[in-house]
Amino acid sequence: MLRPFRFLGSLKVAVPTLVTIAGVLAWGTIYEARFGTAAVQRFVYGSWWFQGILSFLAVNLATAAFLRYPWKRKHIPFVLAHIGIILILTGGILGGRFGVQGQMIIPEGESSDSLQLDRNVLAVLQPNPGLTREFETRFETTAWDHAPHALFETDLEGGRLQLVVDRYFSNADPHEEISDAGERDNPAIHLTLSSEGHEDDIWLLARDRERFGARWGEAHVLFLELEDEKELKQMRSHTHPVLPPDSIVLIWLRSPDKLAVVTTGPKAVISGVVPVKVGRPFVHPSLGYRAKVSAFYPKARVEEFFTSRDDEVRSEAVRLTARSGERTVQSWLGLRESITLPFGKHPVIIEYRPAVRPVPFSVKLLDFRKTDYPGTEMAAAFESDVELSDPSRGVTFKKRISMNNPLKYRGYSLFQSSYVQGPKETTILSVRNDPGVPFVYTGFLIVLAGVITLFTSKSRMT
Amino acid sequence: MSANHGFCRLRVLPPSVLPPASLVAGFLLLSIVLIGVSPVRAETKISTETLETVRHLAIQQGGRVKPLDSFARETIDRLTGSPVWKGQDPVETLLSILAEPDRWQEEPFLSVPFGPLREALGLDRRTKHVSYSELISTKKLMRMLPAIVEKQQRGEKLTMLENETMDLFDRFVAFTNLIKQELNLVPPPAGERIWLPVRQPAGPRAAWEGFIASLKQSDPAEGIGGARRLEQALQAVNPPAYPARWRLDLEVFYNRSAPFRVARLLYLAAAILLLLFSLKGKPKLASAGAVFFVSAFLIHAAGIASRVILGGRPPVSNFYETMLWLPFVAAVLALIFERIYRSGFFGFSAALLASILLLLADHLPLDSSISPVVAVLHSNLWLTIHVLMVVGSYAPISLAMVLAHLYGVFYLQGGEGHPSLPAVGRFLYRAVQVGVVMLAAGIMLGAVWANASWGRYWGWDPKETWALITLLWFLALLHGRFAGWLKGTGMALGTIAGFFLLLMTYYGVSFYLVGLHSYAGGNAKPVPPLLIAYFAAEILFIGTVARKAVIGSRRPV
Repeated sequence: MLRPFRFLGSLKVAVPTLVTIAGVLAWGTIYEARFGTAAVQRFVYGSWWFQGILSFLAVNLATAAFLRYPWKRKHIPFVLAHIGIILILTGGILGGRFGVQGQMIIPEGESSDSLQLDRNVLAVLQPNPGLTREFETRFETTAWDHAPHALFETDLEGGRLQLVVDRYFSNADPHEEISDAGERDNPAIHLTLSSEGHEDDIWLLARDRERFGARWGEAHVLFLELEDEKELKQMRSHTHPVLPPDSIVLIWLRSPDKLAVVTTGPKAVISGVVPVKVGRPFVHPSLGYRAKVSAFYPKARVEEFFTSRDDEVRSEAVRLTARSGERTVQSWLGLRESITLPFGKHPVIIEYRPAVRPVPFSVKLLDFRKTDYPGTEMAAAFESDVELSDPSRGVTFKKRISMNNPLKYRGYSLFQSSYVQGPKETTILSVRNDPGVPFVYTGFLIVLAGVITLFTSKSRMT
Repeated sequence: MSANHGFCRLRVLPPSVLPPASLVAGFLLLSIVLIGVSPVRAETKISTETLETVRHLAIQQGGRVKPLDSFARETIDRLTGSPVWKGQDPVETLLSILAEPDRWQEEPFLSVPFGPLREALGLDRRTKHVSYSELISTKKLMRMLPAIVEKQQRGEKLTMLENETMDLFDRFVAFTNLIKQELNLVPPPAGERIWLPVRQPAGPRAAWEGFIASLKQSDPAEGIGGARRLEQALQAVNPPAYPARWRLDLEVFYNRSAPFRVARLLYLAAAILLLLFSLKGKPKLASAGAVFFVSAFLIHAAGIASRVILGGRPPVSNFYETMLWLPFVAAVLALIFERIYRSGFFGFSAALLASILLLLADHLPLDSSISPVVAVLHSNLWLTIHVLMVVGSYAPISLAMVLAHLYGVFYLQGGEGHPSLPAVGRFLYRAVQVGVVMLAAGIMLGAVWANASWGRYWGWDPKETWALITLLWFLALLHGRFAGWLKGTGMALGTIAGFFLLLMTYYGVSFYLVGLHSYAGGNAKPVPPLLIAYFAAEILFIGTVARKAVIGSRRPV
């Protein structure tokens, strides 16, 4: 009756298992180099069969230990080492199953009460009556598959919504196409700028707050829309400068319909208003830059689309088709972007973003500091001053989080992981709640004790 | 004036936010304007005393205050790919560049080690160096840069060619800084940390200019006087901020004495003597070997200690230092084992290993400068212990590998009956045992550190995965030996094979596996011919021993 157990707990099982695990791992690292980290985590390290091999090793170790029961003095190192490893494996499986891992990204002065997880979802929101649906996508685990044909369906207020993702690019390169085919007023101008052998083409959109102007070399290039000659006169008659210095300002007058260019010198004084025509170049008087309007569309349509750079997971984008009843809308969506769909009386917002998980407290970033090695840009240390508040328990306290000094609260540990530089500094905290850690650490200590007893007891080598 | 991609959005108006391409172009323009063209002059001769004084001047560079001697070595190394240019003292080369910038701009001096880059720049394919003025006149480097910088800003990985291009640009900038005499030699005012450039108006600029002028004189006394006056003027700016004399002395002494080169020769002598002792058994050979071994060890230890004192950081913080630490631990273990077994085999193995590794450390393209460590590695006890332990665990495994070769050689010589086989086999087993324990402890310490620092104790990162693979392999070997499936020969061959895994963990993961990933597009780093030769030789050795074992007996090997 004991025989099958003898075999299960024998070295004849243990050694091949060890070698198998080593082989799988070696293959896994090569698989990762080829297909990416997300893929290897899903298809190798996190797969049921690999977890199965690890569990089998635990069973083998446990059987080997129990077969020698009752344990004698000489068995101590062996039993300790094996129990320790079983605990480590158990802790690992527990952590993988019940642990939480994510990031808190908090700009200075703001607070957050949720984690960003390292997997993405398509979220469908209907603000009225307030419905939210999330679909896990996992496209990043199969980054080589550019045509996933994934279908997501949900019932919303006013009907059924069907989403089909027919393109996924893990490292997507954004492009845009501006055409004359718009339905509404949206003045756009295409400029060719050149100076000393350099030439650039830029599009300016008068009604887009982020794209009505650009900087080119020393010049500020703007595109403005004015109602009539009166407004133009008003602009010229202001005593204080209304335009930036060294500028090339293109103006579209709605009535009478014509284009003009205004230039300013280093003191922002307007030098003159000159009519311009598409295709005819002009020169900035003081900078000497040449400019040419190569196209002008009063009703421009701006279309965004993506191409794939390669299969690294870097800046993701999907193309989806939303269908409800007879209506079909197709659109590209980069990660962290959203689109609003007309959906009867109740518009729907679709977001492609990392999954989010709430935590039972909120963290406010009071101050973030980075210190460099003197005379370099290399960070010597960075730290965040945060205020944690937990309204449900009436707890509020301040704490400094730095490298190797995490904040621990209610089973969660918040670590200083990274930062984003900018006008407003943003800290990135990695957050972890792992119930397996005590098992793993106890396992470490027991293995260590086993090794120490091995060295103090006599060698059993033959 | 902005270069190729000249616009950013209007919302970021401040003129300081110019795209990097314009910086590059600006740099180029500025350097051309500043340098001008003037006739070539005869070479300067600088007296030894002047060099000695200048060598000990303190300079802040790369986040650290160091003697000009180190700065000169590192700079010449960075620019030319070798710490010494045409057999000249690096400090002399440096001073010569400062005194005669025009002549040095014509010298093919900047290293372009990557063939495809030479081709892209339209240079002679055979020469590995290009002159500063040629680099400017071809204009090709500057045209290649904006696209690379843009790619870098998007956070994309660069290809080999692009990386090498950026490296060449770094050399170009470093040389530009040299000829513009951008040297932070002036100690900061009280309360500040950043040293000031020597040519800034408020500082001891007159002393500097006097010194540079004196270099151009033929009279050596002028040079010495100029150097002394400069030294005094610099110290006088803020004496408390100036580094202690002994620190500068120690670092110059460290640079000059090259302790690891001395140690590796002594180790080699010890290895030869101890091998003779193990074979012939003459006690005199053993004591002579021990003397060489211990003196090598002491110099080795002193070298590591100097680096720790000077850098103010743990003994292992870059790849070069792992190559110093590994043989150090091997020597410590050999000393301990020799106290117990008194065989000479451990001493021989450790000495041979140390002499080879210290030789490699100096001849592989590794950064041997004592530069500051990245934020994660800064003053971190757990990490320090983890790194010391893991790199330390490579030592007994490497020792076992050398012993395994000894075992194989003895086996080929005398078969099962060779008198030294049982002892070597036992030592080999011991070394693997120690290695497994240390590696396991190192991995666990790494897990503790990762958990304390990143919030996860295990993440299947390629480096940690390969460490685990190595551990599992040697655990399997120990268990196989324990069960009696493997005898001494099998253990020896398994150890040699296991050393491949160790090499993968130690070296391969950082350079190839991550490399495969980062150089996606088929530009993985080429495997050095040395490594290929090593693999081939080892496979041949394993094959030969295994063949004899299989033919010689039907019993387990």
